[in-house]
Amino acid sequence: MPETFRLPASAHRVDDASMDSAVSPRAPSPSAALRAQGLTKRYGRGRRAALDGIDLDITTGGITALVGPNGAGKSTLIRCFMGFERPTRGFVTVDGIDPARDRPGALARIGYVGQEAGLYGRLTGDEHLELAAGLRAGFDRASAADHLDGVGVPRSARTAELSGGQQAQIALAMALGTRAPVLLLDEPVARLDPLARNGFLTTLRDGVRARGTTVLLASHIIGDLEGVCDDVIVLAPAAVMFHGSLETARTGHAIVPATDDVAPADLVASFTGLNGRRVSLVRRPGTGDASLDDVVLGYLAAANASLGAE
Amino acid sequence: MLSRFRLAVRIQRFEVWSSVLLVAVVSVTALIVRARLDGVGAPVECLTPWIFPDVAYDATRCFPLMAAFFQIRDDEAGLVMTAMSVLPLVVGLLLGVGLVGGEIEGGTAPTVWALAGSRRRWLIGRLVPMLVILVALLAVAAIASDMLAAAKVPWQFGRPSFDDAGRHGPGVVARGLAAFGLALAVGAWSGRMLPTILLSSLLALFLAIGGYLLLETWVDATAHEIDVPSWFNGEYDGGRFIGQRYHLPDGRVVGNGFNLGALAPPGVDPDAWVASLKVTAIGVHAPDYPAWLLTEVATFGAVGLAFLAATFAIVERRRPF
Repeated sequence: MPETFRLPASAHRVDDASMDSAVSPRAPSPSAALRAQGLTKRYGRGRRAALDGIDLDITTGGITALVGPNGAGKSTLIRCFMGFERPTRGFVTVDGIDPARDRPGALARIGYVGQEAGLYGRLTGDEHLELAAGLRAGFDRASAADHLDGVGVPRSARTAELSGGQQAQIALAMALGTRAPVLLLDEPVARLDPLARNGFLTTLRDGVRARGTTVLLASHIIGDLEGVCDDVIVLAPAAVMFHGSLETARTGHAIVPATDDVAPADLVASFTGLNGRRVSLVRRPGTGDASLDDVVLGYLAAANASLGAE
Repeated sequence: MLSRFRLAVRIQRFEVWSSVLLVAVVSVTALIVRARLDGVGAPVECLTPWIFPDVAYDATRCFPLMAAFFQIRDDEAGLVMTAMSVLPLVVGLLLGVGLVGGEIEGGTAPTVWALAGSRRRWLIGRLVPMLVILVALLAVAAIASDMLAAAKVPWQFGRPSFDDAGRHGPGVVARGLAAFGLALAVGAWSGRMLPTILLSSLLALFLAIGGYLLLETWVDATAHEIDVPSWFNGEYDGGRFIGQRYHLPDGRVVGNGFNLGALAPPGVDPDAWVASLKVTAIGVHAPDYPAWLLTEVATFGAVGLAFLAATFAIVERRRPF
């Protein structure tokens, strides 16, 4: 998969000019399950844009991680795909359908799990599946029930009595039961403990791999994503900083001491690493060995540098 | 369909059972008070003797019966009828407040709106069960209130009456529908429970005041001249009157404020002369009640439907959070 490096226009003005050479807008893919073109979303006049001219193609199949800090616009992007937010400019499509024009048509292709499980505390897991079957034509109740049995969630218990992890599993079962070709997961594991997060992500991976479902998984817990996702999108406030495969992200970058001489064209950004030392993220296509954490931190540092210089 | 009905009730179990309890308490109380009124066994000629000038009034027998009847009528039945005027508003608000507002505040709206695709379809699925419950419960209250209202005016012999207008009969259901629609629309607009409860309660108060003003306006607009019996004193005939007219021998028709005695021919006792004049009432009388009932039901029903339509429009456009 080709990779895309993109910085906000302001970054080109203030950051080293060599980064321009890394910007290679991705050509629209004919098989894009999710597409955003020139997507801008601004809440209220005069406010900072939550998304600013985003171009994005997510091809069919595979799990794409959408990572970025709070306020980067992850939820806004997902809400635009669902027709819950209307773009200020530009458009998005889900399997070729613009949700701003045909929201029911787009939603018919989407399974969704939010940050909150979005369940009725008074209903049991079984009743949630019954509810979903009543709302969505073709809902696969049997497989959703099997999913819950498989992860050991008691279907007859009221959801208010279940743990956060179990509630998230019910929400995932409802999304998987739709058999939708696209799953949009808006930080579903943000409030879960590590064990529950691992359980959720494992069942997600196993549940969608065989079906060829396209998954966009928003998260700011990067460490959990490495064994699950195929692609990663780094979303800094309002703009896509990196979009490529996980493999490209890791092997295409390296971490070097900030004191090293780096060609400006190769430098993504310098930042204080997790070990407290000042380091630089540099591009080393094919020979790098950066962790996903490093790559994300480096691109977010680049975004912060560009925002700070505005 | 049955499954969605059951789930809708489960989701709003507290609201549904609270409504059932409220309606049961008020309706059963209405029937008990009716039984107590009937139990007094006061003959109609004891309660409104002026309607029966040919029947000798037996004060010894009638007075205690009349006192007992009117005590129950004024105290207990009056209280129940006041409760009946509030009941449809409370039940409508209870069932309507959380239906959309609760889903948005509770965070379930994104899940179910994403599942359903069509928000209209989702809203119909959630709305219809509550509407059926609302109408069924308030129909029970309407029947109970009708029975009590009839027992309060035995001298009407079951004929329609403007006594307690707006507090009994099908109007109870229509008012409940208006309150339900109001709460739904406010809930859909605000997406928060507390503001919805406060605002829709306030607006329901205006709805109640509006109902009273509607009756007054309707009576003023519909008032006509009515021939009244000789015993007429403006009370206890089931009508609602806004004035009297005296028909003078010279063809003029004058109202209450006119100094009639001054017009009496010389040498004739003015009081006797005035008493001999033909009197008519201005207002609406008991047979006009069905027309008012139709107006009441149509007005509140239309208000309810307008709010429901507004709810659909709001839900279609708003964010689910």
